[in-house]
Amino acid sequence: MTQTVTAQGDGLLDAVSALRAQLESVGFPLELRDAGVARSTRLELVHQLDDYVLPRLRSLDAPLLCVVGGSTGAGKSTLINSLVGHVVTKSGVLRPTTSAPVLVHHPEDERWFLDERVLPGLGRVTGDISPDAPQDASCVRLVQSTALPPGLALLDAPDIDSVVSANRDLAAQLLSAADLWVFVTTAARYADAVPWTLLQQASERGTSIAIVLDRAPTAAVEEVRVHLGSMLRRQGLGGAPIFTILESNLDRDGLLPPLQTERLRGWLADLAADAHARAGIVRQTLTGALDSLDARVATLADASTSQVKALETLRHDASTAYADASRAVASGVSDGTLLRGEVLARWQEYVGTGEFFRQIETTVSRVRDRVTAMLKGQPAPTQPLGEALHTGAAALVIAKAEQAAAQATQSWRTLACGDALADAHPDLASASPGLTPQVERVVRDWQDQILDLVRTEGKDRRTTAKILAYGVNGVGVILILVTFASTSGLTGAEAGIAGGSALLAQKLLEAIFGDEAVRKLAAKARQLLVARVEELYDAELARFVEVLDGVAVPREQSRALRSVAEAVRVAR
Amino acid sequence: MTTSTTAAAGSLTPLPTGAEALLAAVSAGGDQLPAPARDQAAAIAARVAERSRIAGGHTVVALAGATGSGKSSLFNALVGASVAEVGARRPITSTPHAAVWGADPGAELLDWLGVGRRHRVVDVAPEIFGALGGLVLLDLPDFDSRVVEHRSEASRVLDLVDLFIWVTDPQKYADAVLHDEFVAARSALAAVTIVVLNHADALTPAGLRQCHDDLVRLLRADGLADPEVIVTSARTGYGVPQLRQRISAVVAGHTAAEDRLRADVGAAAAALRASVADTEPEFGDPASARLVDALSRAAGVPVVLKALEQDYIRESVGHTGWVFTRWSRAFSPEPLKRLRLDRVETRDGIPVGETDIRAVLGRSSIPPPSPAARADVDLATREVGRSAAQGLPKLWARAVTEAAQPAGADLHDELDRAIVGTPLRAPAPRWWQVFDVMQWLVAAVAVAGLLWYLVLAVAGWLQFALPEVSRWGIVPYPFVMLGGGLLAGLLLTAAARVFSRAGARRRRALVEGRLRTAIAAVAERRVIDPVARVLARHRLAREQLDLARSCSH
Ligand SMILES: Nc1nc2c(ncn2[C@@H]2O[C@H](COP(=O)(O)OP(=O)(O)OP(=O)(O)O)[C@@H](O)[C@H]2O)c(=O)[nH]1
Ligand SMILES: Nc1nc2c(ncn2[C@@H]2O[C@H](COP(=O)(O)OP(=O)(O)OP(=O)(O)O)[C@@H](O)[C@H]2O)c(=O)[nH]1
Ligand SMILES: [Mg+2]
Ligand SMILES: [Mg+2]
Repeated sequence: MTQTVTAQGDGLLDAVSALRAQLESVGFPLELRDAGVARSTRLELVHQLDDYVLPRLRSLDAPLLCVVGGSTGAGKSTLINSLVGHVVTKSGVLRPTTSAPVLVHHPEDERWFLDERVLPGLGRVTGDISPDAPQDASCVRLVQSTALPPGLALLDAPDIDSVVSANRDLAAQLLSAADLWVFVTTAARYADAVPWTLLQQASERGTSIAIVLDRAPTAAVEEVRVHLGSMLRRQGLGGAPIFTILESNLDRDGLLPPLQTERLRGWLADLAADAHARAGIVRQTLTGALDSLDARVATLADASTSQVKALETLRHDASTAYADASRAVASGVSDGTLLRGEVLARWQEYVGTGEFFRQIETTVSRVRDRVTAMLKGQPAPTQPLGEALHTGAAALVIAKAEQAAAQATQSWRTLACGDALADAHPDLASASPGLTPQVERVVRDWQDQILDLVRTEGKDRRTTAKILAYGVNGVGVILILVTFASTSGLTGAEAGIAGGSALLAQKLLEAIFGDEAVRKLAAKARQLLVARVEELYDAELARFVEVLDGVAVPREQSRALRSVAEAVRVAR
Repeated sequence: MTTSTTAAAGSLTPLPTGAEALLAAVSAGGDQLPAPARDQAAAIAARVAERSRIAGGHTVVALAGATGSGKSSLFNALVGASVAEVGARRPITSTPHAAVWGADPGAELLDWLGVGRRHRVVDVAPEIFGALGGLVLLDLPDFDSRVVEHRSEASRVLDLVDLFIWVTDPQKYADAVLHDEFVAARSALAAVTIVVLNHADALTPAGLRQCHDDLVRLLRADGLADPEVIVTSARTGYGVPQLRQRISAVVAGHTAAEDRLRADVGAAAAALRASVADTEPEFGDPASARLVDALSRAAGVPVVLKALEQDYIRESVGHTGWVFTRWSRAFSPEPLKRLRLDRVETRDGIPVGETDIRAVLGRSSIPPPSPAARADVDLATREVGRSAAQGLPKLWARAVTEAAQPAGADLHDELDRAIVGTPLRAPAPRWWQVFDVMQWLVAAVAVAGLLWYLVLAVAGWLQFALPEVSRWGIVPYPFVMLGGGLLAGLLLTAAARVFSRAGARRRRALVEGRLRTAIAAVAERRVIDPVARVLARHRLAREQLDLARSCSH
């Protein structure tokens, strides 16, 4: 660690402020494996920047804040009371006792703590308030005491390990605001897992620490002290001073005998008197905090990248499903198979029973009506065959939409984050409820469009009269048939079933329009349907996209984080 | 001891039933039950079997808690000798230690518990402190120190014991580890839970009372309805006789083992019950009718029916048409033959034409379903899935939806076979014969009339004198015969046409019924049955879980 924080100007403060501002907009909404860690890292980081790093950078000469933290019942409050010499914070047999922070400082130092320089998220309570008054965990209670030297303040923190989770969170926040941790443990507690995770973190971040081994039984004090010392060394905290306080009878006010706290009090007084030593402690903790930024921001940046990646995967899954559906409809329309089955049967019926020719006769007799209707722009009434094609195409489009919705949610569900989204939006698993009438309208519109197509194509031809004779609608239906059949043609079996009628249909159409024109017309009609279906599917896909857009992960989050962290590095 | 085993055996009957029910529910539920809860339930069922198999009627009591709470000190106090190591360093105990009261050393049981360090205890003054014969007391490692192996070993043994004694003290009684991760997590086992507040000597009597009441409050919050807290001091011996008496009462009751396992079974069943709905959804008629419609269309039933109708009319013309024009039928196509449904072997035993290989293969020439028809089938199966998944938990709903989606290609084959296997023809209707006879009769009359005229004409040409042709009114009889025969033939043909239209419709309705039945059978086999099987598994899992729960009360 060669970098120090002695000679930076406002550059570092600005860079850290920029990092803090960037953290405001950072979020990890998707339930990814690393999201939980990232969320808590972000919150911790925000707290530490607000509560410690920024205030410390703004005023390097502010009093040293010593946070007294540790397990419930370790005797933190008793210790502070004993150091101050009278009861300033409540101690008691019920666990946990302290739930709101109490900050004890010299009257001269009041200005440093009264405003929101440190711990801006917490309010301030001042004045002569009994320690037994109800505690308010959203405020810091400020207590003035001349028993403490100026330049040093003690903060009684709630516990780190009781059933009250709010205490644990608040304690973590307060510890990250400390220049110096005064870590209180006992002979019964010193090997507990929970405090050691915090000590490990302090060791990794280079936080200044002092250890108080409280309530030590006289008989075993040496054994325990040696054991604790070796554990601290193994954790890399060998340099931390250990203050041992023997379990002794408390006085009437619940204070320890002065003898027990003498060493600790002396150490604190020396620290307060020695500006150089104080600066050393501040420097160690601040440098440690700044050093830890890189790794923590990298955690956030990595988590951001995986959020963006996951979002992209989900988006890709959804659009693949709908692209597949569009393709299936396109091939269903163009490989001629929609002509099969029922449509074919109807067609056979239409031609085979002579109805077709009968229709031609009746149509001839109604030419005038139709011409009038056409001039008015009304399409001729739909034939039963048109209806079959219509429902067939509509069923195809709807079924593929349903399939796409199911496929998209299914692939979402293979990812934990997608599963959560699919649970939150159960309606995504099927096509939107308004799709059926929409598809029917689209297919009807398409048929109308084909009729228009036939009308414009036929306008300048001598064959207009012939078209009229068949009925524009009849021609339209034939064209639709050809659309479905022309690319791959009909197989022998189908030709057998239809008695060649589809081929006949094509021949008829070719007779009217000419070979090339029919092919073009058919291709055009196919394109029109596919384009309209794609539009519909885009609207269906939009439901998924909307859900994903609702998950706010700024695309540039990762890069922005890395660049502000880099700026901090450069400024140091 | 013998009386106690029989008593235990007698009251144990609901336990195996419950465990079996739990196991049955797990296997019925399969992947539709969440894996962790399912595995735990299976482990519990297995544990019930193992624990019940071990003889001896022992009661296993475990002292568990945070490091330094005084588990080993209490253990020594109960044993009456300094057996377990006690010390100021934390943590001390790293492997469980057992003390066994009574004649039976319980070796098998301790092997099963995986406890190596064992100590036999001679009961002193049982008449004063209560008999402890049959007690296996365990001193466990802590669960809150840095040494994670202690915690995992404690958890392992805690899964197997009959009675928990949570040992805590005034410093640690409100620790999150104790409450959140141990007591609350096992609150379903409240019946076999005792809490000890040790280190009583560290507090004033008033402080002790406050502390005790606060602990009771926290235990209530953990889910213990009526928590029992015994205050002790291993150092002064305060409260140890009460603790001993309490244990002795449990040992004498001989039900702790069963109580614990039953509570385990109940808790596992309750945990799984949340992933099973209270009822199975009603599914069926509207959805499956729509499915049969869609499948029929995909199978080409309308094409077949149309062809059938035409075929009937064609055949009918062959039997009942005017005799003089029947030959023209040969030029009209045979609709069923075109679909290759004419000579396929059916249940009526109509022979297979040797030349027709496709017919031999049992395949028709009905065109394959269009994408639209296939899409319609897809929609219909989805509908079935949706209606059958209504109200089911997520995993079950997914299984139902999957079961309702048959694989595409061979479904069409199966539909085709269903159609090929359905008899399309029926015996020729009686009226055809009647009409046939009548047509031939009137034709014969007409021919006779014509012949008569021929005879008359030949006779006239040869100038034979024949008797005067008798007349009917003013019309000569041969003319009546010729004209009447022809006219009657035409009238009969017209009438037959009307009848055959109606007959064709009837035949169509008859065969449509048969085809729908055949298609419905396919729908049943490919869609409805798989869905019903999932729902049946759901029902079984639900019923077995309810049974397991009722056995645990
Ligand atoms: N006899 C004796 N009792 C002590 C000593 N230190 C603390 N106690 C008692 O231990 C209990 C807990 O002390 P507190 O000071 O409230 O502990 P704390 O660490 O502030 O606990 P929380 O506020 O719950 O986090 C009180 O009843 C104190 O009287 C000691 O050295 N000797
Ligand atoms: N004052 C007092 N001290 C006790 C009491 N019970 C145990 N101790 C002391 O507390 C310390 C720990 O006791 P142990 O019995 O080793 O505690 P444990 O729960 O077995 O601890 P681990 O084995 O580490 O899990 C020892 O120094 C005991 O002498 C008690 O009731 N009062
Ligand atoms: Mg306190
Ligand atoms: Mg022990």
